[in-house]
Amino acid sequence: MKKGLQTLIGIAGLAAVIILVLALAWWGMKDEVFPPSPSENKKEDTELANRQADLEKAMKKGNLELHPAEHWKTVEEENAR
Amino acid sequence: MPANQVMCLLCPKHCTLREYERGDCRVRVNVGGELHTLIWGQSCAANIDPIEKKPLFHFLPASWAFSIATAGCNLHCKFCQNWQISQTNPEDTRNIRMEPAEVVKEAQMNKCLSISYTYSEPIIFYEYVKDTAKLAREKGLRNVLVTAGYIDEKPLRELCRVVDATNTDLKSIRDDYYREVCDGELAPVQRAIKVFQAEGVWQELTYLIVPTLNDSEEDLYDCFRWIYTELGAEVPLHLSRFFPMYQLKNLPPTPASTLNRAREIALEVGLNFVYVGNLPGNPGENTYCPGCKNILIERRGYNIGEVQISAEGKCVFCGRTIPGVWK
Repeated sequence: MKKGLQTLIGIAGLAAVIILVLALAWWGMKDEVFPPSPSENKKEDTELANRQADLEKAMKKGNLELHPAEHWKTVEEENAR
Repeated sequence: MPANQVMCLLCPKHCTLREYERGDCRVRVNVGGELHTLIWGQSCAANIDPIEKKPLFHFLPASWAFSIATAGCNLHCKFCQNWQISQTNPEDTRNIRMEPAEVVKEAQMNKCLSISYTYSEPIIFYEYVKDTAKLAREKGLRNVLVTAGYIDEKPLRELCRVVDATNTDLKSIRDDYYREVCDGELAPVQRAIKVFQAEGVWQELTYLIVPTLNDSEEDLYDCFRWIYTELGAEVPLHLSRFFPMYQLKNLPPTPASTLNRAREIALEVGLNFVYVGNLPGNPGENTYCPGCKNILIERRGYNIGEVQISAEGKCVFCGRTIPGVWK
C-alpha cells in the first residue's frame, strides 16, 4: 500500500516536471513556431511610430532634452539574471 | 517580446518600458533601448524658503534653503498639496533651464546655506539632484531632500553620499493606505527611512494626518511605536495638518484637537521632539528641551525666536544634547 502510494507520488512529480519543462520550452519558442503575423507587426510598428511622434512633440513643446538616466537595465538582462 | 525594452530600477515600481514609453513618474523615458530623463536641469519651481518650511526644525534653524523642483512624481497621493506640478508631464509645466552650476550660484548669491530638492518628489529627478548636490558640497553648501522615500535601496545609498538632511514622509503605518491613497507600498518607505538613518543623513519625519483615513488612535500608536522602536526617541516628528486638496476635497481640514491628541500620543510613546505643523500659534511648534523642559526655539509659522541651543548642540539651560545639525 505504502509502496504503491510512493510510486504514484513519484509518477505525479515526474509528470509535473515534464509539463513544466515543456511549458518553458513552449514559452521560449512560441514566437518562432508562430511568428507574429504581418498585421501584428504592422500594428506594433504603428504604435512605435505614434509613441515616437508623441515624445518628439512633447519634447518640442516643453523644450526638453534627453539626459542619460542611472539605475536601469534592459529586459533581456533582467530575464537572463 | 518587443525589442529594446528597459526596466527602470530607481523606484520600487520597476516600470518596464517599451521604446519611447515613459515611466509612471512621467519623466523617465526609453529611447533607443536606453533609459533617459527628460527633466535634468528643468526646474519648474525655484524659491528661497526658510528651512523651517521643509519642515526641518533641527537643521540650521533660521537659515534659507534654495529650493527647486521638477514636474512628475512616482506616487499619486490623493491629497497631494503640489499636484499641479507632481501630477503633470514636464512639457506642461513652465520650466526654467537651470543647470547644477546655476542652481549653486543662485543659492550662494542669495546667502542660502542649503539647497533643497522639494515640492514634487526629488527621487524622480535623481540625476539632477546628484549632480547639483555634488557641486553644492564642493562649494560648502548642504543638501536637503524632502521626499516620500519611495526609492530602491541601491540608488538611495548612492544618493545618501551627497545628502545632508531629509524630511521623509511616513504617510501611514498601513500598507493598504499606501496602496489605496498613494499608489505605492509601505515597506520600501520604511526601508528608506532606516537607510537614511544608517547612512548618517540627518532625518526628520512628517506624518500628514488626514481625517478618517489615518487619524485613528490605533494607527497613531502603531506608527509612533514603529518610529520609536526602529529609529529611537530622538528623531523629530512633524504632525502635519491636512487641508482639502486635489482628490480629497470632500474631507475637512484636520481639527486642532486631533493634532494635539496625536502629539500627546507620540510623546506618551516616548518620542522627544514632536511638532504640530500647518497650525500657526500652536505650542507644538516650539522645541522644548526633554531634560529641563525649557523652550529652546520658539516658533510661530516660519518666524522663529532666539535659538537656545549652542553651536555644539547643547541646551543652554541644562546642557542636554539636542540632536540635529546646528552649525
